[in-house]
Amino acid sequence: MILPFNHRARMARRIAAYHTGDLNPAACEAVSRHLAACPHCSEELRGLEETDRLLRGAAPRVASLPPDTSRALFARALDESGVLRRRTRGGWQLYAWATPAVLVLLGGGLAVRELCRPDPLPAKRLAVGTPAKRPAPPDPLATRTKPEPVVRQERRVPRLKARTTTPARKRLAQASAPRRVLPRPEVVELLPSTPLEWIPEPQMAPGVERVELMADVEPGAPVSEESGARLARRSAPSPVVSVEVTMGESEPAGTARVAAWWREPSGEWFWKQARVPRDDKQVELVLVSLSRERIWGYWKEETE
Amino acid sequence: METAFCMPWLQRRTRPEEAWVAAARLSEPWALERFYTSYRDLVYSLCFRLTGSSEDAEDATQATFIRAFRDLPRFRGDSSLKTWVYRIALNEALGLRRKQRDLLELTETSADVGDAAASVVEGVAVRSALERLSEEHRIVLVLQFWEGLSGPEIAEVLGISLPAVKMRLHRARAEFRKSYEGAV
Repeated sequence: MILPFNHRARMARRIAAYHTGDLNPAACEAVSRHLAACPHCSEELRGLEETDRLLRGAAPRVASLPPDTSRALFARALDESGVLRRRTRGGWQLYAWATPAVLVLLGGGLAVRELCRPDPLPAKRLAVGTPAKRPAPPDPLATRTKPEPVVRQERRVPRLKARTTTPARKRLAQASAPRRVLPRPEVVELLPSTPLEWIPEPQMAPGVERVELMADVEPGAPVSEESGARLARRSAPSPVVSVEVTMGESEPAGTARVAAWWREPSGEWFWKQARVPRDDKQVELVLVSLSRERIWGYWKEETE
Repeated sequence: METAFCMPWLQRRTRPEEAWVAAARLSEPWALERFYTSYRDLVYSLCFRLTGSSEDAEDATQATFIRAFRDLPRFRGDSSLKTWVYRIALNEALGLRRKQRDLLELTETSADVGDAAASVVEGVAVRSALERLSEEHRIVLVLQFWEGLSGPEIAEVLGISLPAVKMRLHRARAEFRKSYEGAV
């Protein structure tokens, strides 16, 4: 039987839908009955099944990325995406730019508010001034010339005192005060003479894929709990899951001991430690090690 | 002065998937690594199948993750993370492929090497037939048959409706059959 082209195309679509299971049960039953009686459509269905078999069977086998390549790809992607640099900027450099802008806006707003506010002071100050020194009103020329400096002198001193004591004036004065700009953190390389140690860390529980480590800063330490937590959670680069810094009597003067922990693909936990130089003004370690060859210390100057 | 960040082995907890996805959107390095290890093989596989060489696949994989790391903060969760990553990988792999179209050569295998090689010959013929298809038909077949994506997933990756995916698959099959039968 020769079917019209439109009918054949429609049947081909129905058979394709039947093949992919997109027909409702009633339509499916109807197509099944039709297939039993129509060799042309049966051939169409077999062709679809054969196509699927060919395509599935020809899928290229893809080997996994070698571990070294995978790590290198990740490191390059992390580096080139700039997310770590963006995070560092967001940490404090962003504030270094944003703070002056906010202060200028705040100061400007307050200044405009002060200028637009009606000033009740002149009348009040004139009232509390000494009436005996005020010129007599009969001579209009005398009121314009002679007494005016005396009245200004009387007004100026209390007016300044009164305004500097208002909270708005205080904030304005603080805003216009010279600001302390945070220095850019410098990368402090390891002391070249310090040997690095690779020691398996037995305290980590095997089987723990990822752990979240909470920084716990000693009471009275100049680093806040937030900055300690930021150190552990955000600043540690990806292979490093934990950072510890020790500065004090147990360490030689002018140095700090930095240790970083991570987990190798083999599942073994490792830690690496080294001494880095420091001085007493630098109290906060921000970042340790992306490369496993070296440990880097980023130091941030203590701020008031 | 003593400042010690005591890394507390006592206070630790494993992270559920939602936590690392949210953290990855905030560009937390540990979460980005988790994201990378979760999708590395999928991305590399798709890139390899679209580019045809391991070197190009590595380049496309790297480009995919660079873009993904940058764009993760803007990922709003409208689609699944998997299809979002697939979409980026697809664009990167196709971009690379367009640049290096000349380099893609399929290995010709002689047909008289025995029964064991029959499937290899068939595979080469199928891949040759796929190469002759239009790009949109080849992509939809690769996603369906090689990557094993469902219809709705393909729709998300390609940014088209589900009926459009079905129609495109239907036409791609027909075009593939013509191409394959013509070659054989």
